[in-house]
Amino acid sequence: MKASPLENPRLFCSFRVEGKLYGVDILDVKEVTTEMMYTRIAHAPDEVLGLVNIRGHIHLALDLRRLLGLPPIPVTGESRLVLFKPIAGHSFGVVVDSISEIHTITPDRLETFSLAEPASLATQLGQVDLISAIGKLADELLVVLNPRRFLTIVEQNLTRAT
Amino acid sequence: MKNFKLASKLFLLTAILISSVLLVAYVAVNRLAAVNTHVQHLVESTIAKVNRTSEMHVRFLGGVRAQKNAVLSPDDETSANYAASSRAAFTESREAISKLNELVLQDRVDGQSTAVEELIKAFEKAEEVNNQVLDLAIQNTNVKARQILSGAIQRDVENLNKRLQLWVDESMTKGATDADLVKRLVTLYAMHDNVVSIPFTAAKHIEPLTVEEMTALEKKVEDFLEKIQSGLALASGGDLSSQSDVRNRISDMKVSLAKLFQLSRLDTNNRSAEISLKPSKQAADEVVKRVSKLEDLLARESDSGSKLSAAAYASAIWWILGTTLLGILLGGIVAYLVKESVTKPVFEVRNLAQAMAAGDLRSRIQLNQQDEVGELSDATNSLADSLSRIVAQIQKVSEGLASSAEDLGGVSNHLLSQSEATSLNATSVASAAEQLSSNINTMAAAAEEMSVNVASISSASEEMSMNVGTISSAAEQTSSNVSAVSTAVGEISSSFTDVLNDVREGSRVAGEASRMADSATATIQTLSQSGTEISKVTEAIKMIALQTNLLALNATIEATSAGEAGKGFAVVAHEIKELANQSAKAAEDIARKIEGVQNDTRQAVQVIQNVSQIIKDINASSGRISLSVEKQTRAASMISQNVGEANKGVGDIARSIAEVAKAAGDMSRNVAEAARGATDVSRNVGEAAKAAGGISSDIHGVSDASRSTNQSASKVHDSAEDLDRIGKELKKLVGRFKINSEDITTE
Repeated sequence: MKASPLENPRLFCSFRVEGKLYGVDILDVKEVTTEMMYTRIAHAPDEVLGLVNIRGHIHLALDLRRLLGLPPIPVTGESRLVLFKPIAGHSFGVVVDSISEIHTITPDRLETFSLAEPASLATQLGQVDLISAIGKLADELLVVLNPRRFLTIVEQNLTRAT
Repeated sequence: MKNFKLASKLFLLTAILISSVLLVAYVAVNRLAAVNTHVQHLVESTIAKVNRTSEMHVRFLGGVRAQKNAVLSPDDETSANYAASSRAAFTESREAISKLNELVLQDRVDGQSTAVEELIKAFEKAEEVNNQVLDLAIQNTNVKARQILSGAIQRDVENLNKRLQLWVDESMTKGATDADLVKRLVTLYAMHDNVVSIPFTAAKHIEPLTVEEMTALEKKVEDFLEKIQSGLALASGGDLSSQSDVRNRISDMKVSLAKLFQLSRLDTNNRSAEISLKPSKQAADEVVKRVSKLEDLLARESDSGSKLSAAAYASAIWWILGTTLLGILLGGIVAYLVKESVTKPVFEVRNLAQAMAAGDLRSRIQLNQQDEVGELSDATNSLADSLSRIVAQIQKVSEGLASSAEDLGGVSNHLLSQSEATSLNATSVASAAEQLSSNINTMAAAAEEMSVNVASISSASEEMSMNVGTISSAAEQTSSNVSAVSTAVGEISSSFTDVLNDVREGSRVAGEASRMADSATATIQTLSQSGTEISKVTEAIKMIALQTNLLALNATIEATSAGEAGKGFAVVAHEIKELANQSAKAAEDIARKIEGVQNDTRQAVQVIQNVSQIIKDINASSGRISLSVEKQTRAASMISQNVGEANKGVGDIARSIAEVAKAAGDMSRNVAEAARGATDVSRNVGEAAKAAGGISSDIHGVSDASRSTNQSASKVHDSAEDLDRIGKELKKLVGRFKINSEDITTE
């Protein structure tokens, strides 16, 4: 969570899940692709869809819907795989319902979240780790997610299960 | 045959008889020759064969007898003689057989040659056996052996016995030691036994024995001799000269014994007897059997030969008899024919002459002979012809006379009857004329009445004429009205036709419109299809836009990651994004436009379908119009037809009425004429009454004339009858002659 209210406008790669607009910082994103051929991993948690081969490199594919606690849906023509750079986490990506545009948001229109506000609604929702900020667009709200937390969430879920 | 002269006929008859006699003689000679041949054959060959056979048989039996004698006779000479005679007999027999064979082969009678061959075979076998026997018989070995036995050997034996006896006596007298004596005596006695056994054994040897037995006996004898020789030293008591003497005798005996054994072994007597008894007998029996068989055959031959000659004799008899009968038959037939050809014509000529004398001139003789008799018959025929011609002419003249008399008679009868009829008619006519005048009077009265009636008819007809005129004018008017109706109907009909044409035109146009609507629909379908295809292209463009968008996104991400260095690239990414957006927009635009076009198309299709439907409706209603128009046309034409007929009917009425008018006019005219006529009639009737009176007076004159005519007619009739009577008499005289119709010539 990098709160930077005085920096230049940030670009966010936005996508939709269940109709809601989510986004990640573009500097975290490596690529967006339409590849949907996973190789399933046995005994892996549900959030892990499988392994994907992109131009010779193997990436882990996670289901964002499950990560957000939503019921999974089958793959559509709109589904896209968002791959993250190594700084966000080692060789992984998430599957989203559809891709939207690259939004440029100035810091004044960003609202950050922090753990210092335990009484916020987001905490009660249990998604406080994932969401890092909310961006205000002209007609919509953009929920900015923290990709670094994705893998950790998966591990947590795994340990919780066992 | 019929045309020969009499002399030649008789000559023919004689020739046939002579030739038949000759034929009989020839046949007889032929047949007798056949009989002769059979008899000759019988004598020459069959008897000769029988003789030869019997000769052969006799000689054969003689040979067999001689053979037996040869076997039986003990000494060589007689045996040899018998043997020779046997062989000679056999040879003669063989000669007889060969001669017989020649004869048999010449004759070639069935079975005889085979029988002779068999006989020859059997004979040869018998001869062979016979020779065997004879060869053995002449040897007489057994006899000789016995002779040796009884001669030399007996002598030797006796000598030996004497010697032995001497030695015995010697030993008795000598008085040697008992043992030696005894030994010598024993030896001597043993030797004596042996010596005595030898002839006994030899005699046994001569009997018929097997070879082994003979050998055994010979061995025995040898043993005996050995024993004798071995005992000799002891037996002799040292006397060497007697020993050598005995030894010489023994060797002599050995020689004789050897000869005896040899002769005995040959055993010819026994063997020849054996052969003579069995094989020779069998062969002889065989030969005899064959001979008897041959004799049977020859007997059969002679039998058949005699039968053949008897048959030939019988056939000869039949042939001769047959030929004789044939000759007689042939001669008889020819004689009969000759007689017929002579006597029959002569009888016919006689019959003809008799008939002519009786008055029958119709018959002729139908002979076609060229001989003397034929000439006679021809002459008689011509005589009958000329006589019949003369008689026919006389008949014709008499018939003409008779017919003329008849005619005359007929005419006179006719005349008589006619005059009678005339007088009767005259009377009847007079009465009729009176009746006529009375009738005329009645007629005058009736004529008056008629003229009154006629006047009344005339007035009535004038009235009728006027009425008919009125009707006629009314009918004319009706006719003109009907014509008007007819023309109106015709106009309606034509207008209907026009309507129909228009309707058809309209239907055609509707059809065309329908077709065009269909083609428009088809075109729109094509359009719709094109729209669908464009949609597909649009989809592709959308896909491209999406991909481009993604590409732009990734480019932006990369550009942002690159930081400062990526700013140029960020511009490129931006541009690509714009491009993607535009493409997407364009695609959407196209899609929307396509959508719009398709909507319009659908609307157009709908409209066209509506139009099509309307056209169909129009078509249907025009069809209905057409149908009803046709119906109306038919009705109009029917009306027209009926009106036409009505017109015609009215026309007929008009015509009929015109005719009635004309008839009425005629009728009034006729009535006027009738009135005139009645007046004339009454006038004429008066004149007729006058004429009737004149007729009556004329009729009386006619009656007188007819009476006088009647008298003359009866006179003519009498003369005609006389003439007729004379004609009949002449006819009767001539009628006694009967003639053919073709001889009656017309004059």
